[in-house]
Amino acid sequence: MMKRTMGVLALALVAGVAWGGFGMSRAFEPPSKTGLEKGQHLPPFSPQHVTGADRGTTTCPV
Amino acid sequence: MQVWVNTDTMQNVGDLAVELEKEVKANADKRLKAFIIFINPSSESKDALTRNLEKLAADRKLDKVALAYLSGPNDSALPDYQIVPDAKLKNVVFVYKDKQVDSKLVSLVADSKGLKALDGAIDNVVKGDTAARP
Repeated sequence: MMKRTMGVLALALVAGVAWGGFGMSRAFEPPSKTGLEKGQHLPPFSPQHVTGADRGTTTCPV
Repeated sequence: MQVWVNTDTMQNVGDLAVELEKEVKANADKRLKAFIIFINPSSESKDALTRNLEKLAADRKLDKVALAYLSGPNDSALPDYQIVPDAKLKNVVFVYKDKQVDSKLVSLVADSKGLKALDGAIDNVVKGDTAARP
């Protein structure tokens, strides 16, 4: 009975480490879905232009 | 096109910019436009950013490609574009027409494979379309 209990605990410990390990590796991976996807519309925004036709303005590039 | 730069190197951004300059000039009749938007993840001062971008434009002889920057990683444009400024994210390239994304390239490297992918994405938009406005 004692051996069986220890075996279950060991299994739970291994599973916990594996779960935590996978969680950590996901946290440090680059975002897999960043940026608008194909077909989505670009919303307006206002960057500060340093060069180009809109230099010195915050004209929306879209 | 829009290239959103997060933690990319000036070397890679410059190489991408030169390719975009070439594409914009080659497709002048298609009204192709290119913008490189610096997210400014470390919230550099306006003066420092302006100097760096002006230097990049001068060094790479950029005439058609426009350089611009955002206030930093908390700029409201990032969630609007669904961009997560994770440190591992180098850049995001949007090739679009009529304000609609046609292709997206993430952390694009300006090597032969990367530039081929970029050129292909641009070709898809401009090919046979005289009114393209990416």
